[in-house]
Amino acid sequence: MSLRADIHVRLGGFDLDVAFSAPTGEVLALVGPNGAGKSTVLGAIAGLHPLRRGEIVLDGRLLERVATRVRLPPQARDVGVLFQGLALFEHLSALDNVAYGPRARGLDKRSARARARTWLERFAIAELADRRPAQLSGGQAQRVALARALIVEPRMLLLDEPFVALDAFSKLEAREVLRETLRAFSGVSLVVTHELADALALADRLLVIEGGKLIQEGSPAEVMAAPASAHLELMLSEQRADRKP
Amino acid sequence: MSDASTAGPGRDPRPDPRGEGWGHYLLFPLALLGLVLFVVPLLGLISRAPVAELGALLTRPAVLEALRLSLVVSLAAVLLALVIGFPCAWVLARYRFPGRALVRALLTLPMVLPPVVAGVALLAALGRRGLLGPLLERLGIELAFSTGGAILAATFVAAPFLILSCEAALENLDHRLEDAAATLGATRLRILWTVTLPAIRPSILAGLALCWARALGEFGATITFAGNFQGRTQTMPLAVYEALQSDHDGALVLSLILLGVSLAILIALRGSLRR
Repeated sequence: MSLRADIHVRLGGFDLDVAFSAPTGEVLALVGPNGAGKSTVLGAIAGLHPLRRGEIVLDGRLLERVATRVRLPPQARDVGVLFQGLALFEHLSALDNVAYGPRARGLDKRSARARARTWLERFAIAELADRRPAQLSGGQAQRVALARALIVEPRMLLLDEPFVALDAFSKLEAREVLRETLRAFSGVSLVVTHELADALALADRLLVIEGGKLIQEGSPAEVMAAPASAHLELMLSEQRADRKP
Repeated sequence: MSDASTAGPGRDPRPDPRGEGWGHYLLFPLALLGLVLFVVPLLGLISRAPVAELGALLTRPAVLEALRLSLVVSLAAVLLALVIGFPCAWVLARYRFPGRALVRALLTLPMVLPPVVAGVALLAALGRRGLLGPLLERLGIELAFSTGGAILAATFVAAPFLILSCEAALENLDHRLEDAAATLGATRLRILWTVTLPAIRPSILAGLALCWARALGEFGATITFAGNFQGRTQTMPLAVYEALQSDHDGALVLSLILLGVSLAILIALRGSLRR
């Protein structure tokens, strides 16, 4: 059970051309500068950007293959996404945000809410069930968004810049929550981030992309030992500078 | 180093000639003039209205008929505008197709078109001798000079306000909300109903209020296409116009009512925009 992705997307004159695979349970981090195409990779796997060429196979199930015109819509992919900015539904309570997926899949309101409540408990935010997203802190909102993505039991988890909107304090806490969540998650996880520190803290393996191409792939230790680009080297040196007391 | 620090004792530094300028003060009297222009007519209307006879005038059959008809016509027009206008806005905002700019221009044309031209156009299209006249006649539908015609005329001129308001809201909506709902398994229609519409609710309400205000005040297209028949097509603005020829006080009272309704819409609109 695993992910195999061969992704070619053209977006406004920009070519994205990335192939990789991952065994189940692995946490991948997709790192690179802004505009490198990281979010597009994520969108392609989720079914939000159609491929131009290539294919995506998740757990032996074909999600998309351009050659044979197979293309499952996002609804049928069983891929959970933590969107950049979280994309919580502002008009719904935390509970109903989490219950949205089960409701959309046909569960009645009472059962969906009951299930959502157990997920809020799992993330230790049951007491926030009735709050609107606007009344949640950054860290709390992220837990709600994680619960909303996980309640439908996706086969894969995609996380787009999970820390970008958080202040320094919430970020430490959020990273811990996320590390726990990813450890417990049985499928492949892919974290998109432009911050190397986050990637190093969370991932088993790094995928480095620049200008729409995969330029390096390896464990955090391997990438740190021999960074494949000047940009990556700069990020690493900043990272080392940050770590100094 | 500034002048002050280098100047010797006993010699004042020359004041720096740079200042804010004073040309912008010219805008104040002009703004005041604008305010006067807008406020004086309203004061005139209020001061001349025969308040003592208000009750008697209000219960006149012609006035009551016009009031009732105005409500029926404008609300029906708003409903029709919503039913056909939102889908227009949705298609414009969600799909890129050849001729989209032209379609968009055509849908918003009634906002800048003189209403009387809209009325003539409706007559030429849907009147008895119009483009679709024979077809409508065979179907037994008579629009010109009927309440249905008044509703259609009001819809024609008022719907663009709703369409533009909804389209702008749909364009500005964070697409990640709809993407999130899709990855959670919601069908497109469910996403529209449970995510998109609630998210743009304030814009829809604002569009509805503007649309209703425009429909309520509709005069030119209505009188041209639907005529001025008491109880059938004579809405408030038409009644004001007719009363002005014979019954000055009646015109003032009717106008006062319309002013009150407009103010109420404006207040409701502010409430919905602030949300």
